[in-house]
Amino acid sequence: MHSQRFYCSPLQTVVDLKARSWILVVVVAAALVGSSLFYSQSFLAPPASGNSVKIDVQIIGGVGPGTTDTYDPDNFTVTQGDNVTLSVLNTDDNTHGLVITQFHVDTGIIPSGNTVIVSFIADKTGTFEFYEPPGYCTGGVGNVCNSVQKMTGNMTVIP
Amino acid sequence: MAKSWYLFLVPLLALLSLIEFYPLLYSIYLSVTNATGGFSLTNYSAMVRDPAFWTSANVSILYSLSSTLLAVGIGVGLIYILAQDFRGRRLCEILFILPMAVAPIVVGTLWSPASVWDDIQSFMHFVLGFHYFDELTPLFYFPVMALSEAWEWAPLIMLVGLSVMNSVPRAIYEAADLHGASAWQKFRMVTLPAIFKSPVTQFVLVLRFIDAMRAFEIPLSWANWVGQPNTIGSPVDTLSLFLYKLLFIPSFGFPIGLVSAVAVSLFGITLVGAVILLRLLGAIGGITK
Repeated sequence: MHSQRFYCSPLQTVVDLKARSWILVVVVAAALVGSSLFYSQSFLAPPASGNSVKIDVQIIGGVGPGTTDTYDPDNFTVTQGDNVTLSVLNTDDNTHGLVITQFHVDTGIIPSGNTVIVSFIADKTGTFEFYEPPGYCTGGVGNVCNSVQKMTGNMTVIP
Repeated sequence: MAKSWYLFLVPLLALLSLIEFYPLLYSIYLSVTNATGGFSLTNYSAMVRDPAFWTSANVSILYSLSSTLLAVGIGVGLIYILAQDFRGRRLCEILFILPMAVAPIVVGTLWSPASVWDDIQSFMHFVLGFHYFDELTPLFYFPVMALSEAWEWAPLIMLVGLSVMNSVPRAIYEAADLHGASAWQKFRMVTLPAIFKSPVTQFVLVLRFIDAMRAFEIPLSWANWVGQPNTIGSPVDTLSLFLYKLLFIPSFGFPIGLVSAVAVSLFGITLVGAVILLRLLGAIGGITK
């Protein structure tokens, strides 16, 4: 670490810069290349070799007092590795939604009559509950959304 | 009397402990306790087992590195333009600074498919006859995102560079003129080394890197443009955005311990990255001397 405190001439500055800056260049370039590779591997790789499966789910409002809203189908099976696309149509007059916690699937709040499409890769096996979290059911005629109602269904992933 | 000088530090330390140490220590405390309040590292083990954490950390690093480098490139270009003598130079300077005044969330919107790329696509398709390109692949939108961040912060590099350039003794430029150096040679051999050798520039570069590591608004708006507002581990999720989604999307169940662990890690990663950068910049003659 000599000669850094005294800048005699711009020439010396250039020489110093050239002599030592290669470490910086190498480290930054390595970090850039490494993270680009990891990025492309995470997001640009072709989807897992499983099949593409599309499942249409409808949300159907209950009719009359005492009935609850339901998913149709409320039970479906996919194979591990499948690239699952859920097309969720809300036919009820309230807003609704669908969440599968374990696969980070969340349709958000779906307005009445709208469809939301979510995709995920079924990389875990087992039976997973999908459900409507509190606050997703709002509005509609008679405001029948309440804390008692819990819409659920099951997704089974077989090996 | 001579020994009571530290009493003057008490008000400062009291303020610091309130606004800095308490939140920091509390988030560390939250990250190493479980739901019942006992010490446990489950939050950290859950974090390192979550692939979304690693992809987000990587997105953060790639995003900050590329946007900082792009900002340097654009900033140096602007400095080169402003180093020349021409009419309207002051006006150009003001125009070049403008992007810095735009709020980041507006930058995220300005550069979005809806406001720019759809129009460019239409123009290229209907006027020039090109095919449509896929603007919703990470290969396209990630560079655009990094470029928009760089676009916003290039003026900062430019301002710092200009102020450093103005502190270079005129005699050096005059000597270069005497030797018959062209404008480009003067820029490359005098201005650029002076700028990058200056501790001020190096410090600003490290600050910019730290700031980009915490990038939030631009990735947030892009998460919405590319249809990933509710998924974690998406191609635009930086660590900040990952943390935000974990905390505020109801289906993840408000995992405050995990969020604290991610926050502490973000702090650690940023600190380590900044120290490495400072050290390396110091190696070419700078602050850490």
